[in-house]
Amino acid sequence: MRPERAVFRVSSVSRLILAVRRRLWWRQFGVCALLGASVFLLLTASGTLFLAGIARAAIAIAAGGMAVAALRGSATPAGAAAAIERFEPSCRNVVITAEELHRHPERASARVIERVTRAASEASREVRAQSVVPAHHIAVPFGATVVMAALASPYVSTPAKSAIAAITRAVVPAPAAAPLITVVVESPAYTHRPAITLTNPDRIEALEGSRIRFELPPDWRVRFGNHEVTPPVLARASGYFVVEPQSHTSASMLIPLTVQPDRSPSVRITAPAKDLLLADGSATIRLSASASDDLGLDTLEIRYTRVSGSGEHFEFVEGTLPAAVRRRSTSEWQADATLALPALRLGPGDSVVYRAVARDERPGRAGTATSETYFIEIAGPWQIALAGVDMPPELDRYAMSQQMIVVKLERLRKRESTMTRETLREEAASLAAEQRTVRGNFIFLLGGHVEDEEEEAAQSHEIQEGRLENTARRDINAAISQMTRVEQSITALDIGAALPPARAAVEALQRAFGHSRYLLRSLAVRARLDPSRRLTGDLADATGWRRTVGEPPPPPQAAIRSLLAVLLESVQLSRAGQHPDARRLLEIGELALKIDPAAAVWQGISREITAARDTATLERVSALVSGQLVAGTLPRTGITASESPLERAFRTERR
Amino acid sequence: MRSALRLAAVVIAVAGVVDPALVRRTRAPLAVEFRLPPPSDPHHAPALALRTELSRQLTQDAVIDGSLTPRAVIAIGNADVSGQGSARIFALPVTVPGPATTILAFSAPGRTMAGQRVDLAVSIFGSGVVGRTSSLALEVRGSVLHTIQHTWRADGERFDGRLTFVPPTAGVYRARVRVSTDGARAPSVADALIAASDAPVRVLAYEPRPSWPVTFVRRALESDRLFQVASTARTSRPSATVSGETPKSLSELDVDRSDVLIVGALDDLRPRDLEALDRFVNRRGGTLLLLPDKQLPAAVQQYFDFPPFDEVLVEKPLRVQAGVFSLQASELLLASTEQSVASVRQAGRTRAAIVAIDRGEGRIIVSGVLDAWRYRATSADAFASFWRALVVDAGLAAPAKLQVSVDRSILRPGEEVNVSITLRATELDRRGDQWVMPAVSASLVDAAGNAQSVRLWPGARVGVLTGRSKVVGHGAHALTASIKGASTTIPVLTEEDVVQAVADGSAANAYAALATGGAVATDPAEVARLVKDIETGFEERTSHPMRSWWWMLPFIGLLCVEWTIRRRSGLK
Repeated sequence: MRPERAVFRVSSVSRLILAVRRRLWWRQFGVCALLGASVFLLLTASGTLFLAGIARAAIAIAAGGMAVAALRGSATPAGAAAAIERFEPSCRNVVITAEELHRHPERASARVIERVTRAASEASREVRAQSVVPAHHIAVPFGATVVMAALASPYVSTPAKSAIAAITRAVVPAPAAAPLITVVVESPAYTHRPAITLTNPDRIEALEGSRIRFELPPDWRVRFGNHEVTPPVLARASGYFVVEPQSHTSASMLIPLTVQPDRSPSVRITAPAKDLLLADGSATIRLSASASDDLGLDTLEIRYTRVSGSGEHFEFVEGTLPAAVRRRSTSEWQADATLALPALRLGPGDSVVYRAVARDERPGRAGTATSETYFIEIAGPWQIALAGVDMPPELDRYAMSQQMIVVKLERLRKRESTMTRETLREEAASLAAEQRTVRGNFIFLLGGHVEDEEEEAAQSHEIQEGRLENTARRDINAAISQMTRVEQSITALDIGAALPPARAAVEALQRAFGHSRYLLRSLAVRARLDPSRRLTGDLADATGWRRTVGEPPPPPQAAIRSLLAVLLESVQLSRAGQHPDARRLLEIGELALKIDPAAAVWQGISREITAARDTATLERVSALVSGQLVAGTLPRTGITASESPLERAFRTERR
Repeated sequence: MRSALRLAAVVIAVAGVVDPALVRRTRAPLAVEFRLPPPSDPHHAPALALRTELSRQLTQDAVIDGSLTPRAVIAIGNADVSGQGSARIFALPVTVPGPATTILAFSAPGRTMAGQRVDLAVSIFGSGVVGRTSSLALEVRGSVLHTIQHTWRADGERFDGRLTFVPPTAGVYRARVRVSTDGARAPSVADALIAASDAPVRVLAYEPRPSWPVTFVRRALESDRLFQVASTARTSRPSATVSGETPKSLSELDVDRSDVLIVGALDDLRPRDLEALDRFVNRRGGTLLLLPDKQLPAAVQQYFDFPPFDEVLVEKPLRVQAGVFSLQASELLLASTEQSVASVRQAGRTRAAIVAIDRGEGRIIVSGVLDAWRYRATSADAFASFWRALVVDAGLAAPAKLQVSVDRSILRPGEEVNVSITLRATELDRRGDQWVMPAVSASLVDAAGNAQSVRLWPGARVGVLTGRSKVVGHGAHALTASIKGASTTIPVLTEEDVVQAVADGSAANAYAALATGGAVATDPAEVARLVKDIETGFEERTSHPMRSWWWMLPFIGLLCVEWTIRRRSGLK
């Protein structure tokens, strides 16, 4: 060894540099370990990359190793000397010089080296290695490494993990941010509402009939429920849209659609609002009607039908009364009219049927509503009329209704060839509804449909007692059957086929009325038995039948149960480190929306599911879904509460 | 010298042949056995600490947990003391310092159905928690699904709560209740098992003639997948409207095909029908739902010994309250009885409108709301919901041929489970004075399919068998009991972290202590003193020292020395 080197070795500055270098090395090691642990924790907490634990550890070690390589220059003797100089500037680089001369003794003579070394020792006499690299500079990285390792371990508590995950999310942006999606909702033109533009909406509320347009990035598509649609979409029923890229669904969006129906106007006759039986047709009657609508009214009028004739030979004349309409607002109107009976030339037994008809601004007949129908009847020779007294509902009223349906069918039949298919369908639907109403009235008066199972069961006594031998009732039953056929034909848009059963229904009703005008009133009275018909049949001819019970519909809670099962499974997987990915969350969110896309609760649950980034959110949603499920299920009655055999025996004995 | 050695060896050999017996009179050892709660009991850890302390105090004077028949059994906490002979029992309760809550019970109904509400009953005991609020959270498969809260008003108060869960699918669910209390050191937890099945409730609706009440109840059941409904409605003597698999008449009823029987038009029931109904209720243990449409016929009234029903007709329908359901009826049969399912306020007093009457193994429910079906549309489907709920409960209560139950259906691996098997009365045959039972076998099958037989013993009453089995391994086990032609299986789940509710066995152990001459003490030192004071007496111990193999060593040694001396002396 050269003497100048020996001089340096024994000098105090050499020992100082060595000590500082050692501490620098520990600090560097701690920092690299901290870096590796941080990388491991980040990979673990973010739950990305689907890496196994050993892969994450390998990445972390590699990161630490790279850091070691990057920082390797700082823990050298030169680095230590520089650190000493930084700590004690009064050394004026003599320590650096001494260290350099030690490494390169050929650069100076031995005397100079000795002199520099001595000067460096002198200058750094008061310097301590602990001061240059304090202990906490070493302890802090190591402590932080231990904490990081603990947090990344599977034994760490869930709240801590959640907190780390939240911090990670805040620091690291979502891997696939949703693109900009614009939705334009154009309300129907008659509403005069402006179009609404929504950007990345979490839900859409639209009036029925609105057009919904989507402005999407290229290669994106929209489906409504399970059906792919091509915008613009006409809003008819509530549901949900799924906006997703063609290739994958990692950034798909679930957008619930709530369709608000445009309600038909509410119309009612406010005066006199009762049926009247008048002595003659000389009176003038003031009529009032009011109507309201959720959006706005278009027309309000009072229509009448003059009915003359008797039996089934009625003549109908329809008209509209001139009315003064007062508009309190666009959605609340009132109409006043005068019904001058002399102008209608009503004779004894004739009648006028009147009703108010309102229409909102919807095109077509969808927005038309009719008030209850009232009668004004001129007393016939057999009737005692009291002016202003309510007229009891008579069977003729229903017979007239059926005759009216025949008349309307005939008119529709004539116009059928000139109408478009759509118009024909609308009018036929309206007529079918009227036929259904008439049929419903008769069914109601008979106490139920004879084809109904329970009715038939209940009538089994009546069959035996001969009650159904009452031919009037039989005729009404026949009329009801014919009305069913009429309705079926109208629904099938076969107007020609509807006419014969409609006429047959009128004939059956006329037969029934001919037998007993007040037949239905007598139904509540127990039928008188015809002894001559008793025991004339052969009981052995009676046979049973096997009733086929259809599969019950799935209970409303079935979808909620499926959702809860999926959520419970997802929570378990998430807790095991396999948090559902965005695609799976979207599927689960879709399940929630399918339950009731228009309900705010399911919209909220779906939103939470699709945005769930941690187990805690999934748990919270599971609790919400469970609560909804519990609310809709049958409670326990307590009759099977567990009891000891002793208690049971005691109670039985006491009884 | 050689002779002496030979003599000694011969003496040993002779003594070995003679095998003399030695009798010693000594003080009998004090054998003590400790009984602890199972590891899944929350008091297991403090019980272990108490045992360590007591063992230290008794180690000089007693033989602890040895093979000797114990003279004293120290039962710590809620330890099971069954199977003890003449030993004195010393009960040492475990006291938990407050503020703390103890879960005394947490249980799920034995039978549940997927999609049906399960009410889990929980009882907790609070000590030192007056004014504090406890939160009871129900966790199912790790998710908190229902939470209730209770504010304690008195020290030593017991709170009975109910946590609700609906199993979404058939299967086994582990439920855990976690009771967290303000200021308490740690939450209390307990586990229970929910086993949900998807088998529908089998219902037979029988009408001797068509009747309105049965028709509408049947329709309510037919529209729900929870039920499998068969029906017979006789429209005339030779004809009937039927659905499903139904008997031609009640006398041909196969009691095992139905869990619940609904019968209307009671006035047309024949004596043979009544006998069949009685058999269904009394021996099969089914539920019979009687839906009359007028006053009960005298024959039915007398046959089943019903309480008197008064026929009440009112102009406006009365509100009939059946739990959370509100029905309406204007034609009623009202009874004054405590066994009311639904009641009505009429003429200033509350009377039963729907009555449940125990009969044999089953029960009969008599509906006095004769025309409730008329008002079925008035209150949000209450009519259909009530009958569905009632019939579900009744169906779940109908026993199978074999009923299997365990004291704990969720436990830790290695713990023992007590099994109880009850044969339905229909499976017992009486011959003279004796009851004859079919051969019953039981086995416990783990998740891997390994079966382990469970030894069964006759129980306290006829038709009951009991057994005990150790459940090894993790996961779901199936406990199956079988007789010829029938078997029943229930799940048993084992997990490492299972915690049981603290079964309140203190009273039982105290009775056992009194009955055996032991004592109840809260201080371990007191228990140690009492145990030490047990007079064990003296015993004569007979021993045969020559039977010890150690005698071979001196015997061989003597001969070897003698042989060595002989050789050194030049002898052969």
